[in-house]
Amino acid sequence: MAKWGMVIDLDKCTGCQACTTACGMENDTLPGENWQDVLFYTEGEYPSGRMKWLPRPCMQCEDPSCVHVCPTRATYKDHDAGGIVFIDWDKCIGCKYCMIACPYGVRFFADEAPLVEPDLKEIFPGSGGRLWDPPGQSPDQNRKRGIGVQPKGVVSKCTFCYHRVSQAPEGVPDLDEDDPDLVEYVPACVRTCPPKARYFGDLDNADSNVNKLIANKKGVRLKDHTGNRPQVYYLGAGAGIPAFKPKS
Amino acid sequence: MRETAASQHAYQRLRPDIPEVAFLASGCLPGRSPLSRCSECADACPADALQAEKGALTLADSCLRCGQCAAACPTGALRVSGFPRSETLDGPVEESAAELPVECWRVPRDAMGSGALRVPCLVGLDSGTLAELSALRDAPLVLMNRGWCEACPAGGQSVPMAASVAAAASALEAAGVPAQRRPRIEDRPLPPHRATSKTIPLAECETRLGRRELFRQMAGRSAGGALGGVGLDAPAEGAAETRPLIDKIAALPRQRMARAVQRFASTLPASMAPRLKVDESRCCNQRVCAALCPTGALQAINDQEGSGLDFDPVPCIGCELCVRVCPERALELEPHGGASGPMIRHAHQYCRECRSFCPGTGEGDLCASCAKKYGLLMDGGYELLFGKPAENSRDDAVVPGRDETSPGHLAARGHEKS
Repeated sequence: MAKWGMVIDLDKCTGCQACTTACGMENDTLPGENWQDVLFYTEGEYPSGRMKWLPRPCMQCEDPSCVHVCPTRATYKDHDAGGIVFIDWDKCIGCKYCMIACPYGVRFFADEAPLVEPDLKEIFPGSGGRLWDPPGQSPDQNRKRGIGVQPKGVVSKCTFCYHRVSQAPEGVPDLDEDDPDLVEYVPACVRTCPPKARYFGDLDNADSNVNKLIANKKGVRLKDHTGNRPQVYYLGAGAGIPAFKPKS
Repeated sequence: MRETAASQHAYQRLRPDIPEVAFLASGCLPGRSPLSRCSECADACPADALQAEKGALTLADSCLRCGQCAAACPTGALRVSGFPRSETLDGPVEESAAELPVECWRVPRDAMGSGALRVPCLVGLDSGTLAELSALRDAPLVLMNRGWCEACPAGGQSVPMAASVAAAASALEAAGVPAQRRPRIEDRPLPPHRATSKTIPLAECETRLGRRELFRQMAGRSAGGALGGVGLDAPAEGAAETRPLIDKIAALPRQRMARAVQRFASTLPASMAPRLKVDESRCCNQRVCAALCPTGALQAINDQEGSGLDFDPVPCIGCELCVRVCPERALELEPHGGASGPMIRHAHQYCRECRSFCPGTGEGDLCASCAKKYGLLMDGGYELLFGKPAENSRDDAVVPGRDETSPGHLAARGHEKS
């Protein structure tokens, strides 16, 4: 089985948040509970401030802290499903230990006060134990893998769009949104990225484009010293708004 | 998956051919969390018929239906038919001067006094049931020791029910119950040949059935119907709404004991109330403990004033899951002297990044998720985004990765002004 990995080229990323929007539409996450987000950082003061941004999906770590701490073994890494970290919503008790442990902050507990007003949980109240009933179409709920609209009282996270990726033919090295045969299997954030800053492929396949990019452009993983070994790699020194330097 | 959720919510037979024993998966502590090392049921089984492995119980043919597993289970996740059920024990106090003898099914009916309570095995009565049975009556509860226990496969000792009777009696004593209303054991030996059988007889032999009832029950048994009042619950309607592991369980044995004692004393005696101590300097207000607490004794509070924990010793079964799960090792459980009420409160903290009041964690002035955001700039993350800082850079840009203690002061400069 493939080991799915993502490469994000920061030299290309424009911080447009199209990935965040696409993810929210694909997975029907509540506003603010962005499984995929772009974080903005500023440095310095006016007039020489700089702004940088970092797209942040779940890193699908090879040695995930969240899995180690879960007191009910609800969250797990499935090596037979592309090495993706899933949450079993039937076992999750919403204790949020995984959210404390995750070094990347990519887990969400949406039952409390909404991050963005108005509270859509009240506007579209959930039926059948679901947290809310979004007006759009969601992927079929898979409680064992944490896909679809979540039930009440559980933690949710990015699944690398497993409901799409899992349909891909066996053995493909990359899921390229430009390949008409594969475009339906590409994760929403990758498929939508306007500057094509994201790549998605098999890290276990030596011929995959993602492996070549990581090797040729010195891909790095965030917080590598934690030993979590993310399956998401970043390239480049990062685009951004450079500091204004007055001519002296 | 919905079926799983529904079956966790209802008592299910462990084996179709042993209808007397029913199991509630969502009530089993190791089934709720692998952190629990509870194996009380398997340890209590006199026939070694019950194996408990990570919340999955397997029952062997040698099961005696003695109910000792159910009596040992701290959460009442096991039920064995023939014993008084919790819901039948609630009611007004019976005014009766005559003592209530309790007999096991092996004692022939003609050898005992009239009006006795018959149960499959006296050891299968847990202390909570004994206490509640005593509290319901003006007269004492007397467990008849016929002297057969030592040779009985369900017994093994001369008076195996002594421990639970003593526990019930001491709890009632602590609540100020006079000695004549506490349960006791009375030795009334009978010659062994009077026993109806060598081991506990089956429920069919115990209940005297007419022809019609017998056939009806046999039909019910082959069709998997309920027999002998084990009390299987029908799977809940709308199974998708069930949250068997999130919902708190009613720890029935503890509830019965508390109900019995509270008939006499308004508060639980100190000897029965566990005490949970929190190290306030360590507690970071994560409240994982409250989420994992199986009975709801530990409650997470989040209101206008602040957030924290409330503790109620009445439902606490002393499973210590809270102590084990606490990321900061801030909790300590003592068996006695607990009181109900607020345990710890943290004031809300203003997070200068998301500009809202968030549950305080006592770490800096950023909320947990904003601290994570700035944590990403540590250890190479900064160089990844902003590039390597120049050696003699003219603008005195702060390098947040260098200072672990204040992860957020990168943005602080911008926000203080705003």
